[in-house]
Amino acid sequence: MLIVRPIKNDDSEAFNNFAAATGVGHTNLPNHPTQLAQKINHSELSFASSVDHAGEEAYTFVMEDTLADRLVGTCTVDATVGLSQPYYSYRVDQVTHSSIDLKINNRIPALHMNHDYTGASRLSSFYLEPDYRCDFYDQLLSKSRLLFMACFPERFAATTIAEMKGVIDDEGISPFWESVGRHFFTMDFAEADLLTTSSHRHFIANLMPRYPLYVPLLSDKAQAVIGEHHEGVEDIVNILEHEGLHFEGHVDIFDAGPILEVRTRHIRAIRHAEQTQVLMGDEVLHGKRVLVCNNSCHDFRCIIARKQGLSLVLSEAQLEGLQVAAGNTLTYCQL
Amino acid sequence: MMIIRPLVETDANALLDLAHKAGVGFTSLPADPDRIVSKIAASLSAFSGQVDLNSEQSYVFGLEDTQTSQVVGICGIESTIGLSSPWYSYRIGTLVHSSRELSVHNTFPTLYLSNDQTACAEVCTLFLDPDYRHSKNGNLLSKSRFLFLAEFPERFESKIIAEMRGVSDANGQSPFWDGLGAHFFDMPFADADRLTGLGKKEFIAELMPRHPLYINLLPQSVRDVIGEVHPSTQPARKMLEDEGFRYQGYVDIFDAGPTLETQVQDIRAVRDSRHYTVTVEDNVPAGETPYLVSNTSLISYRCTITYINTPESGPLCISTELAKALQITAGEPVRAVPLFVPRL
Repeated sequence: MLIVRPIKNDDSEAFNNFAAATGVGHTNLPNHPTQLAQKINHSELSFASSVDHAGEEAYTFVMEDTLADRLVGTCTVDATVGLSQPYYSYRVDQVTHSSIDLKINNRIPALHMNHDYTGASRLSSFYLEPDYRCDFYDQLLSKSRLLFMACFPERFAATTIAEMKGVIDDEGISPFWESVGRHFFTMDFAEADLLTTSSHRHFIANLMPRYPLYVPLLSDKAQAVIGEHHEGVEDIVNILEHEGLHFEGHVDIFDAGPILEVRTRHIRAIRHAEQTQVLMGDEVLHGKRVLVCNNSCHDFRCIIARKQGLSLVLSEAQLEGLQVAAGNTLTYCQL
Repeated sequence: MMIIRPLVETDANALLDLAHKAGVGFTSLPADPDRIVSKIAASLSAFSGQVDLNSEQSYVFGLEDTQTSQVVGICGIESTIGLSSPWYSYRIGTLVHSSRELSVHNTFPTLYLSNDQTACAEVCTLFLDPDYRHSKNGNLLSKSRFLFLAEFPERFESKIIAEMRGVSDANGQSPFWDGLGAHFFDMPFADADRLTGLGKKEFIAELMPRHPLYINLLPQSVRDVIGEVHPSTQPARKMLEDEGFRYQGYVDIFDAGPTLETQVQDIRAVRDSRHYTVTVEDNVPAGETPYLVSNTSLISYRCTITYINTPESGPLCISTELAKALQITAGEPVRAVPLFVPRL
């Protein structure tokens, strides 16, 4: 059985391996043991905290294959971004240059640096082992955090965003970085990318262009990747778009990958989440797939099950996995 | 003899010929009879009007070949610019992006759309018939304006600029326009240039990018020509720089040609020029040094070149022919200055 649960200190070895496997362009999972250890600590404190509004918490989950006794993936939801360190993105605005006399009406897209997403919640740090990218496991991993948000809405902001990795070639070269960022940073993409996860985030303000950038003046290669996601994250984009996240013209300042956004309460899994008293019985093998979670924060557990008819019936093993007993109230939604 | 004088109505036909010779690139002298007539009228009004720096006065001079009485060159001075419609240029500013922790310190030249040259005087509208490009006629045409500025400084703003033609290829294509301006409206450089000549520069400026532009992010072809003059304009640039004009980081918004600037009183030919009382004789032996010499009249302004030996102080002895050309008689003053910067 695959179970999503909060990350623990004991998980650090697997967590480090995930970070090593993600590669360049995944700024939320830096391949840096100290930073990863901090991320685990921060997550444990976040799950243990009692908060009534979104703050600096970051909830990191792992997915465990109980049969194989192995961790196979991770994901995070940050309660907010931009409160302690500024959160930058580029917004693609249209500037109309118009002259009636000359019969000209041109719409010129320009990139504006902004802090529009300050205070928003963020889905981040998604990684799933390649051999588990099947059988709805990616959906379980990605959406379990949405069900967590449904259970604890007071812990999250009104807006939720997700940064999609932008176009980067096999050598780690980002066409957007080469055309824009390199001029301002005089360093490689990977190097700058690593710095953003460190305590040096404020360096962005010192180095990045402060004025809007006219898109038509950028190189063709750079223009072509603005708002485009890396082909490797196609499945994640599909999952999140299905949940209601969408591109509103904000892109990452380094690789120009799209930032998807949604009103948190409009997320499909949150809107459709229901509570019910669970019954125990034989494992349901047919019917609609549902995500089910217990209603615990600190001991959060989430699995995929099936539901037939009006009642939610789980097997003894499934109840054990969720650390609940028959008759407990659970939260579920259709996968 | 070649002599500079204010344009008059009867010059219209000669100007039309000149305009045809100048071609489309010379936007300030379009081959349009109506516009030529109105240009002459505006100039006459400037010469005959009271001093008024709250409106744009356009002083236009012709270079006349006294043997044919034909105007073969033209030059002008604007008393002030940017008052009736906005005057746009790009200023090349400097931005520093620095982070001590990261040991990064980058300097970025940046183009800012500006109206900084509003209320400057301008030397402009210079064209000489190719058949007359010899015998220092070009120097006379261009520098005669400096003696006029020296004589009538109250009629001009104290700061003066000169726009230099930017780089374009044999087909009239401007790399700066193609790499920048063309993105903002679908129009060839020649069309934009023409509209500028028609006084519609402000329409075009409204279409240009309003945000500052990082020069490092622009294509190499664009970066290469910012502040550079067209090869054919190189001598004119050198001449103005010898007279004290300087490139201070302002360029044209269309072709990125440099704008040179200085204070009127700092122009060498203005600063070093002085008045001399004249004596007139029939035969005066030619001296060694070419001098610009002009009368002190406004509406009957005349200026030419004569060769004299450097006078220590007055009076200045000139020939009857020259006195006649300058419309002066013995005992009256002239203004004179060496045509070129004296070699030390």
